[in-house]
Amino acid sequence: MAKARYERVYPYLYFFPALFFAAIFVLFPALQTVYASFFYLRVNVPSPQNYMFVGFENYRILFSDQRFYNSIMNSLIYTLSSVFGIFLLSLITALVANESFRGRTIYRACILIPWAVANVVASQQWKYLYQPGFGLVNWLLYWLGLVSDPNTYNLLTHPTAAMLGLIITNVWKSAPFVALILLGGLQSIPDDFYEAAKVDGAGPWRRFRSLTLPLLVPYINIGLLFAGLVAGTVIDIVYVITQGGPGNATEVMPLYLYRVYFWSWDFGVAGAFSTFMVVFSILTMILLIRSLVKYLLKA
Amino acid sequence: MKGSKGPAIPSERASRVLLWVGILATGAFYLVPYLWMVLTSLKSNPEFYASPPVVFPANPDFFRYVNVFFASNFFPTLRNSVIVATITTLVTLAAVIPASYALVRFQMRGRTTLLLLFLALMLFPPISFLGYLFTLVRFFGVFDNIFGVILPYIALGIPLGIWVLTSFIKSVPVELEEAALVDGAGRFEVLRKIVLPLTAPGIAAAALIIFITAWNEFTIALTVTLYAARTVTIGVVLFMGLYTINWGELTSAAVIASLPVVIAAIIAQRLIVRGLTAGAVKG
Repeated sequence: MAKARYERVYPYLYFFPALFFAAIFVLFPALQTVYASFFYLRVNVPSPQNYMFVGFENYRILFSDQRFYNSIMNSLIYTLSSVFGIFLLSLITALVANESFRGRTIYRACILIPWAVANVVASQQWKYLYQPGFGLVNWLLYWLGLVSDPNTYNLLTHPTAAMLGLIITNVWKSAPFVALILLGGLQSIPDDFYEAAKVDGAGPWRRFRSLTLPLLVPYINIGLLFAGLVAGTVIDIVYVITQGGPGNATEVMPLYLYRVYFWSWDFGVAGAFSTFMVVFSILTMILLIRSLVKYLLKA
Repeated sequence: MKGSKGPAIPSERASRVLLWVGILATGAFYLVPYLWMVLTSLKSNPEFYASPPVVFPANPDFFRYVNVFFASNFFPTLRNSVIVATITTLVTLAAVIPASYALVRFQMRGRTTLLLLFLALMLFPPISFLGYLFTLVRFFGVFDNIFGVILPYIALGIPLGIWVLTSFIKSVPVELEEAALVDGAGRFEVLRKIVLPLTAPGIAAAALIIFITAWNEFTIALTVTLYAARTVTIGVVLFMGLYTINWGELTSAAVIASLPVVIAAIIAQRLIVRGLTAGAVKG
């Protein structure tokens, strides 16, 4: 009897440590955040009102905040453009890395650099490149004829250009990870498929459209889901490069959320904001990827 | 197209040219920004602000590295990160190895649900529960203490580790384990003596990926540390003043903080590529 019970419980012992940490340091605070979104909670001001149930009041406050909408728009632009850029770049990278050529090991090493570098380091490195006068990007733009004076043009003071600068940084940082996932997908396609397609007279482009791309879809799904969620919810790139500026032109949702948490210490509204952000990012990404995949398979 | 040899027909040659355009363009995009920073970190002060920028430093200044490395607000962050990332990696592995093994091999109720639960953890970005993570860390009395950083990092490492390890464990032939079980070995013994040695590369890959993730984390460290427990990513950002930026010290600090992990990633390239792609295969 006791042994039978032990046999039944035993497998779960293997999970216990992992579940323990995950439950205490992710699930518990996450649930608490959702719970808090229904309460009045200003943690920095002790008041009798604290912990009072307010229903959807925090959501109402949030949805009447102009700056909140601004951050949604910025996040959408930032995330969607990033995902699009990451998709194209990672696909090219994976296709290239899957070919055999002299120096492939060196090429694969180059791919790993952005992945291994911290967001903070990547951001400050790009920030240096964006500086007027001594920044390389400014001079590239100047040589391309897009900027008249590289010494005075400051990319980070123009709302659109600053956003583009953030997106490029994010694409640089995230594309390698997605490329590796796609590479795993490419390697799982048997060579016979290509041979058969060749025998049928399909050219390289045709083979790519009707063979490689459809088989790659599950990997594209996973890779872009990760890249999109990271882009939609990480603050460090924006925190280091623009701090949300100029004005609030690049203040994305997670950065504004961070400020609601630790500048205004309103955990109620922040809880509502967090809940909204997670649901919103996941839904946007699913919709985006669905339509992207549909488009890829149809065209 | 693969390994095309002999006289190339025009379309094959064209695709070869296209391939090399792709290699050089994407390779340069990935490599140049980082290489540029490494070169910048060696430049002398006037060279930083040279306009147009100079590519190679005329007389490399290595002394700044020594200064930054031992700077009183940087060295402790470096030391903290070594401790934090190491402990995080060890504890995460200890938690993740048995869990991944059970997820792959045990026939039991709720297995798929548990796997999905673990992987779904990756969908909760730290920023979304940062406020209560902060409260929790305060509650445990480990605010601005390296353990206040380590504990959340372990929780972040767990889905990553499971993602990498389950697929490696799947590749171990079941027959080996079954033979040992028939011979009267316990499950744990099988895990320790058969699965562990056979999945050593997977464990190494998981360890590196967890270590690098912990080393690079910023948002949580920013929230749960103040001074004593700052990690190296905070240490780098500290070189950014509010209005002026000392690019010399900043780039040196960034190179010190990133070069070790970049070199480790390049040396263990095969392992990491296998580790990262393995998880996706079984998705």
